Amino acid sequence: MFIINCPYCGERDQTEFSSGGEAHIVRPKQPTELSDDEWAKFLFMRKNIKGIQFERWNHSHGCRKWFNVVRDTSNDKIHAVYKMGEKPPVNK
Amino acid sequence: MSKELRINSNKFIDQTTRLSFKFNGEKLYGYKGDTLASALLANNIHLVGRSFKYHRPRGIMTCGSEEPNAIVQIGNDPSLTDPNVRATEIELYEGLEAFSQNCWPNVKFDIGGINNLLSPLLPAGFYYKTFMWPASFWEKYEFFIRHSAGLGKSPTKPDPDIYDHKYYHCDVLVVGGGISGIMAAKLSAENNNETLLLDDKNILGGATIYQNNDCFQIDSTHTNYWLEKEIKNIKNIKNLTIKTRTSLAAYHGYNYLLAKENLTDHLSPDERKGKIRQRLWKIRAKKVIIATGSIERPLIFNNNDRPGIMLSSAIKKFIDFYGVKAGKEITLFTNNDSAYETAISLKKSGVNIVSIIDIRDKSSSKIVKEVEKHNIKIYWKHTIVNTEGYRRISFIEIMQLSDDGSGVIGKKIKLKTDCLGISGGWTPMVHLFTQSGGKLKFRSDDNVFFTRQE
Amino acid sequence: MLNFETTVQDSKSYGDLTLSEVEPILKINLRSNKREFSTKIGKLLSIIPPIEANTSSSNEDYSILWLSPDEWLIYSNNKISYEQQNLLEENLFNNISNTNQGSVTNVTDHWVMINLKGSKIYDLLSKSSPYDFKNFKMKKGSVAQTLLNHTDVILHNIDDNNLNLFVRRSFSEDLWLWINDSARFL
Repeated sequence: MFIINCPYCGERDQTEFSSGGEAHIVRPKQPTELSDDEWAKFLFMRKNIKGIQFERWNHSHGCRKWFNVVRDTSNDKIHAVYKMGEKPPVNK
Repeated sequence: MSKELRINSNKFIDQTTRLSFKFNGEKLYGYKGDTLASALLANNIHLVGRSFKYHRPRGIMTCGSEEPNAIVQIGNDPSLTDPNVRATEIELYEGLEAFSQNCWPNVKFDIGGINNLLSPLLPAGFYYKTFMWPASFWEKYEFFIRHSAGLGKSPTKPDPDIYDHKYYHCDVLVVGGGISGIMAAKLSAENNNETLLLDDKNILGGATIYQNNDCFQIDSTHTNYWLEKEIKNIKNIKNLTIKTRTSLAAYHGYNYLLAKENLTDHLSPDERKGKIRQRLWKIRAKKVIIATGSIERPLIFNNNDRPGIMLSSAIKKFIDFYGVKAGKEITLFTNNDSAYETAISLKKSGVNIVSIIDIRDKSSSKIVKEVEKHNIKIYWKHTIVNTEGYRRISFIEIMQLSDDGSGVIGKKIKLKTDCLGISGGWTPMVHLFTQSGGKLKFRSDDNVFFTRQE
Repeated sequence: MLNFETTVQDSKSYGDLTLSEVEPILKINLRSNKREFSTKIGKLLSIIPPIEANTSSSNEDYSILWLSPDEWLIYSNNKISYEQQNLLEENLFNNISNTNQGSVTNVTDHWVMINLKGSKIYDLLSKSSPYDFKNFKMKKGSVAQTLLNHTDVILHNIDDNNLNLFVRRSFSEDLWLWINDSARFL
């Protein structure tokens, strides 16, 4: 269980948070023009990397705000935390 | 209780409070401060269980949480019985009831012991290969296999006890209350860090608290007296919390550690009523210091698993801490100097040492010289080739090692003994360190795996 | 059930720990990200919503707790009648919601407030909350939103060894029973 430094509340235990999956997935501008395959790809296909991963987290039992986390999935080390809408701190 | 196996003066055992307990239905006595293991040894009982597959007799081997053999079932109440408890860890209380496991009808005469005679026919994997055919026979085999599986018996009724949880945040967590843990905790707390010191025993001090050997001194006092003073002092440090009877169970990421505190397992059933039995500590520490010390390694020879064969450091703890003689005619077998500490402790308490068998050519250390003064026979460059005695070791056979150490030469010498202490050097307790992701490297000076700094 | 109509009347004591439900207390949830919002609240209640995380501000009548960068909880320090509540809610509604400055929600019946007093309160909370109370304990007026016995709670440090705990009404009975059960062993 790791500790996440919520950009609004400070360091809290992981149990207070819920994970929102991969971050920075852009919703297609015209969903109606997509093929079923492309739409399914947007909806369901997610990277599952061993290593540095960009994720969304929600401080669901605290301030209930969403934010982004850069986490190394191999050792749970959190490299950066940044608010929604901010630029990722490392080059993607 | 056999008086001749007890030595009188001992500050860790309260010999004015006698406790009665039962082992396999037999009523026995021990003192307050004993563990089940030390009380059994004081009653001259080494045989406590049977091995899992061949049902070979098993005795007490160590003196702490590393015990592999002396595993017993505590109590027979269907809701409270506790399987697989180490006899070396459970503190004696009035009315304790313990039973041997994995034996039927009893530990002295075990039908399963027949497996030992058939062992040439029961190779590894025997069960998996043999009971597959014919397929329709499985239901017949199953009854017997289910009966021989597992060690202890689980309780069959709901647990009536109360358990507690506690989240704890601290700057420094020190695991292990031996001399280095105590000094680390003291330094850390005095430098204004919120510090928690944990130890799984009932008192602090590790192996140093009963170290009364003249060769080990700090500020020209025996290390045990020196440490006693330190322990008295650290109890007054403001930032320091000390928890005894608390063993660390897991080391997770981000320094999240789980520890189990025993609150009433050392009390008699009457004193336990209405109290919390155990508390789970969920510790979040900024820094963790692992000061878990080391455990002695055994030595390898034929039939080295008989009851009465123990680690030499365990024999030392039983005599110096619990005041219990593990045997009347003790032999020691070693490849290093630490068995000589045990020899001196035994000699001080008036236990007869048959001889010391040492694999090495010679040793010129101070402590060996001290032993030589006592006129103890030391067989240099010898090794044990076999042991005898089914329920308790009775004889050992030793032979001289050849010059290159690869074989044995000369005549077999047979020695009568009722307890054999073995010492194969020391292994650091790196378990928590590796669990937290730490890596080890081999250190050839003393042949141990040691922590590697990244 | 802990409820606006049927509250727990008696406080309970376990050694040095006293717990009691406090009612009826007005609780209002405010949300806004508008700049003028703060001054508006200041004018209406003569209290400024705190900007700093995990803090609160109080005056004689009201306390306002930081919940999130754009969310606050106001509660009255003293018992208050239904009529007074409605009046205040209406006033806030007209001045904030109606002028598009933010939203005002009466959560009086949504949150149950339990007062905990005594030197053992942090021992009690640490039984079931992963939150590190070290700084919270020291600073009067601190606010913490965390989990207690798997239930969402808001904690407000009002004095040394004295705090108000807010819990959702539907979870309140469960938490109340848990506190009573755990406090026996402090």
